[in-house]
Parts: sequence; C-alpha cells; structure tokens
Amino acid sequence: MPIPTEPIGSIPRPLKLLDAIGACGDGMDPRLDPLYEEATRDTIEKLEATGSPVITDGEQRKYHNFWTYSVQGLKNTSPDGFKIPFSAGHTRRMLRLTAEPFRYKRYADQYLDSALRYAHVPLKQAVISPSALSLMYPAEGISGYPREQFIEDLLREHETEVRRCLQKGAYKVQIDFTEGRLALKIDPSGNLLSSFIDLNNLALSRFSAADRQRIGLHTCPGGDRDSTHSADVDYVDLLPSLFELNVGNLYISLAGERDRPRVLETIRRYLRPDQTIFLGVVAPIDPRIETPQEVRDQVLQAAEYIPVNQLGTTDDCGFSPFCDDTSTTRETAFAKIRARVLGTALAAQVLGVG
Amino acid sequence: MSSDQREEELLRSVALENAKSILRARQRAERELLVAKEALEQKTRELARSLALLGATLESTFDGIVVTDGERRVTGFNEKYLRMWNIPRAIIDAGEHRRIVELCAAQVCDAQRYLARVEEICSTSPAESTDVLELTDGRVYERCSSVQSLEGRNVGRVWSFRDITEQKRAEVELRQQREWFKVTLASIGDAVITTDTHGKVTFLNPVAEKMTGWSSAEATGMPLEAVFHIVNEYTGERVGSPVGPALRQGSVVGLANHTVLLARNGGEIAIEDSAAPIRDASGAISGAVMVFHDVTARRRAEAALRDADRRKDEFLATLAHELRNPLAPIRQATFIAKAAGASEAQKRWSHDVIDRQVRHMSLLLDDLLDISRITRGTLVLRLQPTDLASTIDAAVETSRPMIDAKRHTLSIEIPDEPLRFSADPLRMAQMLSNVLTNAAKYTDPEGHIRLTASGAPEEVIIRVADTGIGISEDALPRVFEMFAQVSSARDRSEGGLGIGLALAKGLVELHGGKIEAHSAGLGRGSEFIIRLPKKPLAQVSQVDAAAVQAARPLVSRRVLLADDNRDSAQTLAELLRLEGHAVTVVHDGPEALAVFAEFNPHVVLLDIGMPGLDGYDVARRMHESRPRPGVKLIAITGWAQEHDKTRAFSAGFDHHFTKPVDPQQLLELIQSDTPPDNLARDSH
Repeated sequence: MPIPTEPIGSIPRPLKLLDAIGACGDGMDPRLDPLYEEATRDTIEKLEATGSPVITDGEQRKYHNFWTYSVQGLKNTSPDGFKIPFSAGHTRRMLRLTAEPFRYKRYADQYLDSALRYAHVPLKQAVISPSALSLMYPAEGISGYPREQFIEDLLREHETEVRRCLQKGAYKVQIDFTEGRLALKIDPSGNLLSSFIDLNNLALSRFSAADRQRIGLHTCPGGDRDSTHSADVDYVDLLPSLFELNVGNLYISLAGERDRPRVLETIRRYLRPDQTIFLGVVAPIDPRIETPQEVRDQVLQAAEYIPVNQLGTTDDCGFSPFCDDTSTTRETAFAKIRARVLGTALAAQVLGVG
Repeated sequence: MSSDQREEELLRSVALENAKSILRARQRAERELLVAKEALEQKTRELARSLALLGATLESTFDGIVVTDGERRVTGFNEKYLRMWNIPRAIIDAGEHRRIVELCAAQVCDAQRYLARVEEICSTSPAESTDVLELTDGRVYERCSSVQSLEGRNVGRVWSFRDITEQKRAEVELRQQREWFKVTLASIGDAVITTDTHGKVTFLNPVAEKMTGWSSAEATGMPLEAVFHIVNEYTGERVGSPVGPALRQGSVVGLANHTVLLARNGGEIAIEDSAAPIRDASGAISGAVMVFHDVTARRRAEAALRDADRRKDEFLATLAHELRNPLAPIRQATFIAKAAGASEAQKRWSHDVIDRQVRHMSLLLDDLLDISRITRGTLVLRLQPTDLASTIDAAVETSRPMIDAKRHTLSIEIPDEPLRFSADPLRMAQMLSNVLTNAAKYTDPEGHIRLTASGAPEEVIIRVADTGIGISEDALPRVFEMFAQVSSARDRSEGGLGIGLALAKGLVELHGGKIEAHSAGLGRGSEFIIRLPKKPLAQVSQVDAAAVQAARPLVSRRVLLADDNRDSAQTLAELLRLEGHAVTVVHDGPEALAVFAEFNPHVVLLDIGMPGLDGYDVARRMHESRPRPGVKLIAITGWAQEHDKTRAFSAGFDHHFTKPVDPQQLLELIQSDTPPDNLARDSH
C-alpha cells in the first residue's frame, strides 16, 4: 500500500477572480459565480495534473478566508473581533458575535456541490474548528444568550457541517485547528489549549469511530503572506495535546520546523495506533519549490520514527488561507504539490511500499 | 498598556471565559457519557439475555437450523441440526459449510443434485428457497433457506431443516383418499356439489357439471346460488338450496318436491335434492355436500299415471252413461207392451225398441269384453282362409247405419281378383267396422270416407281415409290408447266408449299386423293404414278348422234346460227357441233326470244349485246312464272359481258357464262340435 498524500486545502485564487471581487466590493455578489466556477474547475484540473491522488477545490469559493467563511455576512456579527498578528507585521481581524442566536451562514458542503462536478479523484473538504469560532463570543457576554448556549449552538452547527460533507461524499473532512499554537501563545499555561482540545473533542464525540476515520485535524502556526502567527511557540508543547484529540487523521506541519527530529520524536511518543499522521513536507510560506528528492528524504526521515502504515504526507499549510493573499502564485503551489506527490512516491519505493 | 496588549488581553479574557463554559460543557458531556455508559451496560445485559433467549429458542425449535455468512462460514447452529444430519462436533466447530454440505449430500438419495442445488442457492442468493430432500434411509426433510439481512444488508443465510416424513406419508394417504373420493363421486349417477362453510363451491362431479352447465374449475369459489339456481316448479319463484339449512342445523336436509334446476344454458331440469354437513375429525362442520338427481322421467310417469287415472274415471262415467241410456227406452217399451190397452202394433214396436236397445248394450258389452280379453291375452283368433272382400262387406254392413245417418259418401276400392289370407273373419270385420265407424263419427255430415285395399306378396294393406276433423300432432301418438277419445266432446256427442280404435289396434296386432294413424292436422282429415301379414293358408290351426265348421248353417238341437229360477230358465229357453232349437224346461234335479231319459237331448243345461238333486248329482247320474256319447252336459252356475270348474268336470260336465251367460257363446257351443271343456279346456 503506497504512502498516502493529501493537500491541506487552499490554492491561491486566480488574479482575475481577485480583481473581480475587488471591483464588486462584495465576495458574495452573484455576478461572481461564473468566475468562482471557472476558478474551481481550473484548480481541480491543475491539482489532478500534479498526480495528487486526493485533491481539494483549492478553497476557491471560501470567501473571505478559511476561518470566517461559515459566518461571513451574518447580520448578528460585527467586524471588530479580536486581531491575529502575523510575523510579517500585518494582522487579520475576526468577526464578533453581537446577538443571538449563533448560526452558520453557509456550510462547506456547498463547495463540494461545485467541485464534484469536475473532480475525477477523491475530494477532501476543510472546515473550520469549533474552537476557532468560539472566539467570536464577546468577553462581556450577550444579554439573554449565555455562553453555554452559544457553545451548544456552535457544537451543533459544526456537527451539521461535518455530517453534510461526509454525506456528500467527501473523502476526508479536515478540521482546521491553526489556533492550537495561538492558544499556547495567548495562554502559555496550556489551559486555553486544553479548553480548545476539550471543545473539539466534544464535537468529535458526536461521530462514530468509522466517521472519525474519515475526519482529520490540521494544525500549523498559520500562514499568510509568507508569515506565521505562532511559529515562535514550541511545537513540542503543543503536540501532546494534539494526540488527545479523538480523530483518525492528524495533518501536522513539519517542513518549516527547524528541529524536525525533535518533533518526530515527540510524535512517536504520543502517536496512537488508530491514527494516521500526515506530515507537512512542503512549506507554502517558503517561495522556494522543494525537489521531490528533498521530499523523499523528509519522508524517509519521518519513517524512522513513525510506522510507515501510519505515515502520510501533506503540505505544511494551505497555500492561500486568506483569499486575498497573493504572496504565492498558483504555479508555485502546483509545483510544490507535484514535488510532494513525486517525493512521497519516491520514498514509498525506497520503503518498499510503492 | 498598548492597544495590541489590550486586544491580546481581551482575547485571553474571551478565551478563558470560553474555557470555563467548555469545561462545563465537557463535564455535562461526561455526565451524559456516564449515563450513556450505564445505559449501554444495561443494553449489553439485555442483549446478552436476548442472545441467550435466541439460543434457547433455536434449541427449542423442531427444526434443525444452521446459519452461514457471506463467506460460507457457519455462524450459528442448533443441536437439532447436528442430530438430524449426524454431524460431528469437530466438523461443525471447524465452521466450513462446504464440508458440512458434503456430509449431508452423502445421506440424500441424489447427492449430485443436492450439491448442485446448494451451490445454486449460494451463488444466486435468492430471498427464499424451499426444497424437499429424500434421504437414503426413507426420511424426508424440507429445507428452507432465507437471506439473513442486517440493516438492509445481506449478511448471510439461514438454513432450516424439518423432518416431514410423517407429513409426506399423510399427504400420500390424503391424495389417495381424494382420488378415491373423486373417482367415487365421478362414477355415481347422482350429481354432487360440495361447498365450504360459507356456501362457496369447492367441487362438482361430472354429473353436476353436466346438469348445471358449470365446470368444477369454473364454479370453484363461486357462491352456490350462482351455480345451483333452483326455482319452484309451479310458481317459478327462487327457492333456497338445502345447503344453508344443512350448515345451520348440522343435519341432513332434503327438499325433494317440486324443484326445478335452471341450468347455465337456460334448460330446466326437475330435480330432487338433499344436503348434509361435512364434519372434520374434530366434529366441526367444514362444509356441506349436496346430492341431487334428475327426476324428469319420474315426474312424466307420475303425470301419465294421473292422466290415465283421470281418463279411467271419465271412462267409467261414460260407461255408466252409455249403459244407462238404453234402460230408459227399454223400461218405457216394457211398460207399453204390458199396458192393457196396447195394440199389437204398439207391442211389436215396443219389442223392436227393446231388441234394438238390448243389441246396442250387447255391442257395448262385447267391445268391453273383447278389449278385456285382448288386454289379458285371452282372446283367441279363429284363423281360417278369409276373403278380404267378404270381410270388408261384413264390416261395411255393420257400420252402414252410422255412415248413412251422417249422409257420408263411402267409396271402396279393392283388387278385382280375390284376395284370400289367413285371418279370423269375424274379428277382421269387427276391426274394420270399428275403423269405419270411427271415420264416420269424426267426419262432419256429408263427408267422404274412402276404403282401399291392396295386396302385396307379404302383406295386405287396407287404408281408411276420411275428410273429417283430423287429429292434432300432439294427439296422434295417443289415438290408439284406451279411453283416449273419452274426453272428446265430439265423441261423447256421438256416443260410444271411445275404445273402438284401441280394440282395432289390439285385433290387428293379434293378427301380427300394424295399424297407423296419419293426419295433416285438425280439420284436414285422417287416414288409418292397416298392414296385415299374409299367412299361408296351410297354417290354419285345428281350432281354426273348428271355427270354419262353426260357420256352417244352423242345426236344430234338442236342449234340456234345468233351473229352479223360473224366469232365468224361461228367458234362456225362449232365446234358444228363437235360434230354432227344441227346448224342454224343468225346475229340479229329479225332473231333469226323468225328462233326460224321455227327451233324448243333444244338450243338457243344468243349474248347480237345485232342490232335490243338485246339478253335480244330476250330471253324474246322466253321465252314468247316458244313452248317447255325443250329448253335451253344460253347467250353468254362479260359482266361477277354478275349483268350482274342476268339481263340475269331475261330476261329468263337459262345459262350464258362469252366470250371466253370454248367449252368443252358448249358442255357438250348442251349434258346434266343440270338444268338451274338460278335455280342451276352452275358456268362457
């Protein structure tokens, strides 16, 4: 059985689409539909051309980013939520919930409807974690809408989204949990991270073991405009908590880590038998395109720590989590993905599983 | 504190507040999980109990059961299965269904077929299958299998085996019984219909199919009333079958009378029917059987009997009328003849009236006696060479008064050459006279009657045609029946008993011939055709020869008549004297003996019951002293039993006559040289 390899999700949007969005001033303008459709078709075609056995739609329709796509446009939100500072010096500001009730504006399965029309290989779908959206509830609370009720609504909406994706035929449903490291950055004591883990586990507990084998969780230090928001947090502090998540697949960034053996050693220590670890072997924030040989070597290195039958490869992060990020070109993204695919295959040959 | 620091602090605050809520949510979830866990444990215990019950159920069933999965591994079985097929524990524990199938195949009569069928079932996976397996030791198993589904998915197959050896044997017996029952019902002459408890038809035997017009297959399941439609014979109203009452009452019900079955083709059949409940082994009523048969022929016979009885009553009434008619003129003529002032002409006229009426009565009585003799087979023909022309002349002479009275024209066509054949001329003339008289009666005045005769090598054919009222088509078959014409108003108006044609037919048939009636219908005349076989003249019998002799000219005889009834003696004496005989009358036995010696009679007529010496003694003494062997001793008595005759003959009488004496027969006997009855036993 070959070593599985999957993308994380986003691919930079075509400039034509970004220009049109800018011209409309509203990413949800119906006039943009043909452009979204064409971007999706083109992205899938190019992803399939890389040889990747599993693809995504490149999140071409996720307006305006991977974090808030499900609540963007809700009337009971305001844009003055908390601010995420990136190492490049810029910030991204999240939405704030202003009134009850908390409901998704859209579920990610609707992206599958479009992508399935063009895909010839299995499609995975990325969704935002409940822990990320939990930060929308304001510190001062909302009158008549207690925080407990918000948490309950949040869990139900998240469960609904994941189930709809599974039912539509998503090969995998990947929960984006980039706030893991961020949580440690905000609260070095680890309590906040534990709280996030608990919240995500509460959501995951609503699914069967079979479903959880089709659900994965992705963590990274964030990636926007070739920078991160929490790479300065020690990965080793985060990883033990990640393995407490009741999920069958973990997508962990590794290519951008400075001390990979240390990370791999930690993974080996906490890895559970029912989990598959997809390690990042290409770094989206790095403009340089990895060679397949480099990828192969990373895999072989990982295989020294992780059983091959539990080992997979992926990208460290999405190539464009925020739709207006043009720091990486589509061509670079596809080239990096091709390198991941080829390098993984090379490693599999070396390991005798190709 | 900078703006960034404030925001970070705010975010931390939000996150930590959330953490508290998440913790509570987790604690709640854990409590729920605990509850769910306890519920699960309870469910597990219940499941374990259910599994145990299922196992016990499997073991308690009468069937042997084995369950296989999609890979044909045994996933379950019961002990009964192992016992039925003698499967070792080690083999079942190994779980290889194919190995077990091979073991079973070795025990059935057709192992190859068994294996092929199992493979077919496993490969095609039908929802259900049923097969009958015959084992080499004589047992018979029924094998059923069905798909085992779990959440709508085919996960295996359940095979069950049932020993149906006894059931099969019972089925064979039942089939044989049904066949026997079917053959029996098919072979009996009565119609049979069976129904269920709701009156729905379950079977018709062939007779019932033929009578109703419904096949058993068509009628099965239909309400009985639709197949067996019966009405009252007289009212035409629908009547119920006896099946309903039989089912309700639980006993045999017969509704025999006046029922008509309306067949499917519209035909009507008079029937008698009855029904009885069918009971099963427990005594409960499981249906009804109805038996019915065609009684049309019997109903016709009963109707014919009633008709004959009616005609007999009418005949008796007519007879009484016909016999009473002559009495009035006789009584009145007698009164006139005895009247002191009656002239000789009036007395002669009276005597003529009396004579005519007596002759009329005699003819009536002769006809009655003749028809009686024919019916009883005692009339004996005196066959002799007979000339057809003479016979026709005699018949015409007899019928002439009736023909002339109605001013009919009679034409006669007979062959020029003489046509002689063997027949009783008197009876032939009587027969022809009856036919001619019949023609005259039933032809309006001034009609035409045509008599033609012809001879063929084998027969003589006589035709009598008239222009009369004719005979309807439905009456034709009955014209020769006794009393057939009695009811006819025309006949009554003409007088007579209406037995003329019956008598003619009897006489023709006594001659070995046939008589036919033809008519084109009412108002279109009639024709009677008489065909007589031409017997060779040499076949005339001894009796016939005697009859020929009797036809010789009258010879005067001396007759001694002894009777203590003076009126009877005198009237008989006068009758004999009118025929030219010399008669001496005495009134007791001794006087008879005395006169016998002096008178030297040819014939002695002796009453039996006389004073002094009775007839037997007188006859005995006369016999002992008879001077001439040729004298005839004739007993005339009211005693008519066979032993009376025997006693008379023992006493020496030659003949025996029963009162009232038929004068004609007595005269014929006195004229003839007939041998004594005590030798020839001629009956009178």
